Amino acid sequence: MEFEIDQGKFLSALALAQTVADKRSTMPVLANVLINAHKDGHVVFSATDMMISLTESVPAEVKSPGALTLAVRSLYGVTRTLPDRPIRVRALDNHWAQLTVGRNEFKLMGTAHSDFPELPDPSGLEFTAAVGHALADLIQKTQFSVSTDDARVNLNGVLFECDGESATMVSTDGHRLTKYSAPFTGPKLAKGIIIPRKGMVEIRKVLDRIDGPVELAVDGQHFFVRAGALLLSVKLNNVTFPPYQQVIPSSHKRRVTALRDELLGVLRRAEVMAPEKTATVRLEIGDGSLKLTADNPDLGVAHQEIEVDYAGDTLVAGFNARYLIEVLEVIDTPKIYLEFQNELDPCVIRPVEGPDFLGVVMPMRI
Amino acid sequence: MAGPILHVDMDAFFASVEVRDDPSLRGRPVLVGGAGRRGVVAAASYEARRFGCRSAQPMAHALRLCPQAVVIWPRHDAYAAASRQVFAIFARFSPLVEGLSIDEAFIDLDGTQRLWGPPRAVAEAIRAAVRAEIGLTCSVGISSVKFIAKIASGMNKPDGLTEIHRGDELDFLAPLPIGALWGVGPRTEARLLQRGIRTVGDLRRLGEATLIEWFGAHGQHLHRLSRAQDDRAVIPDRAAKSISHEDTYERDLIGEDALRRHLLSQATRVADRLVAQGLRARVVHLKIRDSAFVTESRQCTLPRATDEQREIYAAACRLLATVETDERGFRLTGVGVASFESAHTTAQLDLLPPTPTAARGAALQTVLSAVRERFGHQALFPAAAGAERRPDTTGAISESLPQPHRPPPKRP
Repeated sequence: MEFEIDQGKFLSALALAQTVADKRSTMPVLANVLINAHKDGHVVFSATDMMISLTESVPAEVKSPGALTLAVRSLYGVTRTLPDRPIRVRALDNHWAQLTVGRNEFKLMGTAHSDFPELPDPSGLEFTAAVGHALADLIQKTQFSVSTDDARVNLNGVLFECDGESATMVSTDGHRLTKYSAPFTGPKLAKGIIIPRKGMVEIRKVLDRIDGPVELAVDGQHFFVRAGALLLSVKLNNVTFPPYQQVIPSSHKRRVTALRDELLGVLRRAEVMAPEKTATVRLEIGDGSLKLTADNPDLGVAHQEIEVDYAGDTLVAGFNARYLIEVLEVIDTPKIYLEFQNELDPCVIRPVEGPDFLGVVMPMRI
Repeated sequence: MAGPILHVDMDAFFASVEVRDDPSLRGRPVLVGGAGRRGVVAAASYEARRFGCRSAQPMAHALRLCPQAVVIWPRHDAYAAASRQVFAIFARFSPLVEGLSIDEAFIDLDGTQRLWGPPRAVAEAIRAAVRAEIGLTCSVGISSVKFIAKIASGMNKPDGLTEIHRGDELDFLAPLPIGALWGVGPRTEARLLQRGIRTVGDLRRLGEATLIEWFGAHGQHLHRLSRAQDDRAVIPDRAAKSISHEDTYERDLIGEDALRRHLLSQATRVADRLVAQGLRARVVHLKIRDSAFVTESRQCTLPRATDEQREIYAAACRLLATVETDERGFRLTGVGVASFESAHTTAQLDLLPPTPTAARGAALQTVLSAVRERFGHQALFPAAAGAERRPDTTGAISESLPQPHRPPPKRP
């Protein structure tokens, strides 16, 4: 194997491969990137952690085809320091690789390409064109409330439903839930699929690099994202998402209209003063006002008040400030609704007008 | 400088409890500990110590030194009960009691003089109360410096009382071997001996600058100790930071199934102790040592604090999955928990129940723990832990053993 490749293209392919490769796996080869040089003048870079797999094809001047794997971390480290000039990569005996730039030369130890696991193959699947930033938007607005509890596999990802014209993403960690629906052309799915947390992060990273259109496909096991010469596959969580509709309150007794920026401001200040572990704040709504109290025995007390649009009886409830902040951060309309039943019932936050978005947050017992 | 400090150390605690409960053992060498191939001596009576037996020795080694010794399986519940009684006596004399372990404590007598008289009188009163009420002896060291009180209690063991008066500290320390200092471990000791420093007096004469040159910041600490300077206070009620249960196995465990069975047993015991103390833990820890003595540990943080065996066990199994278990035998496993929260803090309410059976799980754990607390582990233990839940292990911690005695094994 021997090829010559542009430093910038080489580095960018390695940067992406590096985020996918698994440096702590019991399978050492997963810390490597598979480099496969093809006769027709392109080199394919592949990395996987067995859950997420990425391949990217980059044009290069291939002198002789061949393949080997190299530890991606050190290869990336070396390449990053090299000048922006063509890099010559050549396979030596015993899976060593030689990188040459001008008069600089690096030798890196690799392994045989046959050690590298086979990656999911989407050939035969029908891809549907989609708008990259629309998918990124769906992910960005729901990602934060995905559970990080490894024991709750069915909450470790986001539920993705798509009828071909609109899509819904739902995430929950058991204390709060976020649901966002938006117009979206994508693959028509008979039922929702669960995209695991790490997969969402990776999809976003890929989408951030792409300006043009993307193509999506789903088989029973994987979610594929194809963008130009780049293919990402994410293994789906093969479990059942909880029946989320049941926990979204269908009615409310009290509705507060507040300015999003103002509410976010007082919550951020309150969070600083709230007990570190629980972030508990006390929220009190009364005629025309919303009061927020944060009390940390080790630090002090913060009382704040903002004007809101509300007429009704007083309600006092405790909340994790972080949960409220994270919902408000992804709502980008000036006004929001806070809908309450009673002090121990879930609170629903949604934009007054605009996208079909809602956040459900369970209160704390105070 | 703080007020007078007592260091009370029970004499051959586990062995003394055994002798107290079985007078036929009086005057005989007694070893408490696991009797198996890999058993370790937890305590040796003074009769056994005469033969060179020491705690933490391999049992097989101790039995070669003293073949006629009586080996007794540890009864931690009995020791825990005796310990509680002893600490209750300490608490009568001062609120500032800092337990160092199950059988030793520092007691700060600052401000108790008018009530109880001079420290020596308090020490005598404590010794008399321990002897009369519990039937055990202890040794006491008195000094205004914490670490000197600890050294002093060891000077006249067993059943001794040593007081180092204020002003006598330097003379007391000077002839002691350097290894007697708290903070001089085997490595520091070897390095000092190599340079001809044998006693604390030698160490003092060396001077601070040289010690710092040799040992860095630790040198400064050593210098202060050699000058009887120790401003560490007696800190009462040092709460446990972690709870763990470890076992060393007679025969190596091979394969994940066997490992999981033992982890289940250990997770169950850890959960019981959490329930007993009204705590919940966020962090679960796995320790595992293979036949080549390679020790690995893993830990993870749970999204919510728990005291449930099922959750602790599940976490331990997830941690085990990250350990290479093929072609290795394991001689030790341990499950631990840390990062405690009280069971009654402000609670984040659930939108979805943590598991479909969460409420039942919590109730079940409470009942199971209560049953075992009352009737012992034989009464109700996970069947999946198998019959291996105790035999063949030396049981680093094996409280609540239901049977009073294990017959001593046949001696070689």
